[in-house]
Amino acid sequence: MAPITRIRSRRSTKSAPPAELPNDIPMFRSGIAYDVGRVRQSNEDCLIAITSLQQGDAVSPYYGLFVVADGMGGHDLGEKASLLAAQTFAREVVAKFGTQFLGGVAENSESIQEVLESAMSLANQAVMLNLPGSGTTLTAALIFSKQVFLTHIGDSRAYFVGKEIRQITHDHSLVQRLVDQGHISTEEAGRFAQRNVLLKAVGQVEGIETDFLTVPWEHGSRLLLCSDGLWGVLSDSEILRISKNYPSPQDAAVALARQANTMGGPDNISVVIVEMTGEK
Amino acid sequence: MTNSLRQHTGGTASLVVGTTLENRYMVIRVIGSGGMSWVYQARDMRFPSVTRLVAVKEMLNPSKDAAIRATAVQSFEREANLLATLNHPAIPRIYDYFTIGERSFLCMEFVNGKDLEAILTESSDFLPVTKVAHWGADLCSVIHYLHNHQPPVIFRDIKPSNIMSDEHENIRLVDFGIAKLFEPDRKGTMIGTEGYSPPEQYRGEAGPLSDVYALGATLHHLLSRRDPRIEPPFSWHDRPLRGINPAVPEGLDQAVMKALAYEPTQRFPDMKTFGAVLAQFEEGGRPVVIQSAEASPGISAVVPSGPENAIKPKWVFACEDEIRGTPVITKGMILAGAYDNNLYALKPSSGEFIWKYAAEGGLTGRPAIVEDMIVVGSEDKRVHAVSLTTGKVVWTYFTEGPVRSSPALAEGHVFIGSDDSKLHAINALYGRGAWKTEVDGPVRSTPLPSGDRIYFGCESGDVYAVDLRGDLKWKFHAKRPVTSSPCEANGLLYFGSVDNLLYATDIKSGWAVWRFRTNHAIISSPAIAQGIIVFGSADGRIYGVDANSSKEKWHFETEGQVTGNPLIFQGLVFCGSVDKNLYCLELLTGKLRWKFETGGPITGGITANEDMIVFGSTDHKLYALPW
Repeated sequence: MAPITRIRSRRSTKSAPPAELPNDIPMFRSGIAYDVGRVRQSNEDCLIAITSLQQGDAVSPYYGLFVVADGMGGHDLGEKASLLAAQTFAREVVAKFGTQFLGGVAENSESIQEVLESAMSLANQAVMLNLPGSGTTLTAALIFSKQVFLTHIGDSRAYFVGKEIRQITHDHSLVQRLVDQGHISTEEAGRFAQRNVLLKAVGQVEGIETDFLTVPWEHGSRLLLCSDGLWGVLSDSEILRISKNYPSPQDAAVALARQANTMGGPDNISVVIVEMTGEK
Repeated sequence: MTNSLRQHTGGTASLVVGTTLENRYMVIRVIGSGGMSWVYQARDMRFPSVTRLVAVKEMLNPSKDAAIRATAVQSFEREANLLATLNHPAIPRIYDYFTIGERSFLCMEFVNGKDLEAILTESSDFLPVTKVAHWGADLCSVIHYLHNHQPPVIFRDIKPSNIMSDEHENIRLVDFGIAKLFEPDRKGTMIGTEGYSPPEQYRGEAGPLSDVYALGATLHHLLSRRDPRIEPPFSWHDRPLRGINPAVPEGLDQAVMKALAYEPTQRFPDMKTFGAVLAQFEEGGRPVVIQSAEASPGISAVVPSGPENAIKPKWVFACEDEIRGTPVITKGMILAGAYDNNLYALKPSSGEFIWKYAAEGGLTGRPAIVEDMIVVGSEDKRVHAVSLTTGKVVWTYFTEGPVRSSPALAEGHVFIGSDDSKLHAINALYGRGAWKTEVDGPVRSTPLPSGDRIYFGCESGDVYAVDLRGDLKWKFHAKRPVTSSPCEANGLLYFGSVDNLLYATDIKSGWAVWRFRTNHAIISSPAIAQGIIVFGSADGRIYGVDANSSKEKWHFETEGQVTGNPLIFQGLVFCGSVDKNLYCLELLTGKLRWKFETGGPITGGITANEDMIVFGSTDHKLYALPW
């Protein structure tokens, strides 16, 4: 994280007035909140946030990788599964993508989709082999070159939160399936008894299919990744309202988690908020 | 039960072969296991002089709470007693039951045969439809018996692995899901794996109509070979039976879909009715038209009336050779290059000839309008700029190879590729060369200027991004030539390659974001609208692919290679095929609106305005169709 320190120290130098320095260096600002909630004994969620910056004649001045996983399974299997999956996934993406970011040559010509899918497949195998009987959701965003590349399995979500709030991922859950097919309304979905039944999870079956999508970075928006401990408790409009109230992504993430706890905190809460500044 | 009886230490291993239970049942082998239960083949030692085989099902009661365990054992015994009263040839007899410690056992008739899941797995092709229908009808009969038993028995767990075909090829129901009694309540986020279960079962309700649904799901699996456990639940409409297995008669398809209705009241009212319908499709069954009016919604096969030849051209204009390029419409004029070396100017309303300009080689690209000029490349190695009003040459520009690329305009310059392996930047007004960039092979794709860069494909398989001075910004390598011209949306660049793939790359860095595989070369240039990228492939298909997720939304099968460029206009896709037809499809669904047959393969592109679409064919004709 050396580049961050350098940029900050340069800005805070009093001898050079800030106005003379163009404040247009692309930079991530991210905030996280991670809490067990008010009901559960242990935290089965896991989150990872990696931001990388570079300046110079490089293809891209930045990339970021953000992962939220929500584990399930008896005893301590759930928390182990989410961590194992998230770490395995991130390790693979950083090995391939991080190397390329730093000017290294990719070993083969995998597309970003293939990199993310093979990382998900490795995470899936790792959980199946090492923690049979457990499973986890996994939602990850790779940010690079004004694009957000998303991959996910399960019901941990990604949103753009700006003037409005827009959900980007599509849950792999029974209740979402019923909504899609018009059998129940979005309102009924909120009260549906089997809200927590997933159609797929990492670590359950071999050859799992993962959702991949790419969306251009929404200028002026924040990217929010969260587990169902947040979105299952707070409405979209509450999330939007709280996010708007806090200029700092870190403060916003904590405020969101605090509000989820105020509402009872029935489940573990993981929140990642990413903001990009200086990006033209 | 002690651990010495187990193959492994720990409480959840199976019994060792040779173990004798209750001094009577000697375990011969393990037939199957399922998490908390095992099924053994055992010999009944009460009959020492003959080999009487039984099946023994062992169930683990994992609860640590003694009271809960006792309740579970009571339920098990109640259920075992109930099963023992059943008397039907398709139901194995129950002989005995007992509980030892935290394990309960059920002894029953041993069925010598194979379960339907194994039969399906071992077969390499679809199972005979008449056989599946016969099984279905027989199953209806036995489940009807269960439903009418006093008290009624709901099977709850009909699926191929619970149904056996015995040595006489008779159907047997083998697992009454009794093990479910011992499953502790699961809380927290969990996985639904049912696949065969109806929606109401997720709410904890199960009645006779739930079995109708599960049998429908079982038949769907057997007929389609698509395992519902790995598909999203209730997604049957996404997997139409007859689309997967054309041998399934329409009536059988409708019957299965009716059984699979989401609302129980929309299904067959009972097993007997369902069975009567299925029996029609057995070997020798009489084909009777079933109540097709009552078929589930969403499976109606309404074909739009008369999609073919309903279109009459507004006009047709004949040239002296093939038209392989794409026409343009402008300022009351249609301009089209032909392989007869001529650039034609026609009146849009009538197709009436205005003027023609003769080059010295074939014209295969799409002309571009610059102010009051038209610019076009020719196989005579030149780029020609012709006055729109007079049809006379304004300037020509020489390259060192045939020009099969089409001109693109930006910043007062014409950008065009040539077989001389260069991208040329030409001052648009005077025809003076500004710069040329040498690349690794002929450039036949049309350059795409966007922002301060120009993107183009090359026969070397490379795609280049150069700035407005011609300096390389990035280069992407596909395995085979990129003749297809790139298009751009949302920061991604899309193009096809002869390596069969359609690529999406990040426009800033050139890094591949995704690739979509077809079965043959892609020469066709993609078009994009409403988040759907449309392109043709030499595999004969026109594809509609989600531009963000790379998932195929639809494909449309033509009878020949699709090498021409599709046009998306007002929610419709227009695309020609080597099968001589021009197709009009709906953008969102890929459904055919109409098609129009010409006298030869269509390999060029299409242009449109509010009144008509215009395209050429290798039958030497230019067609104007109303749309």
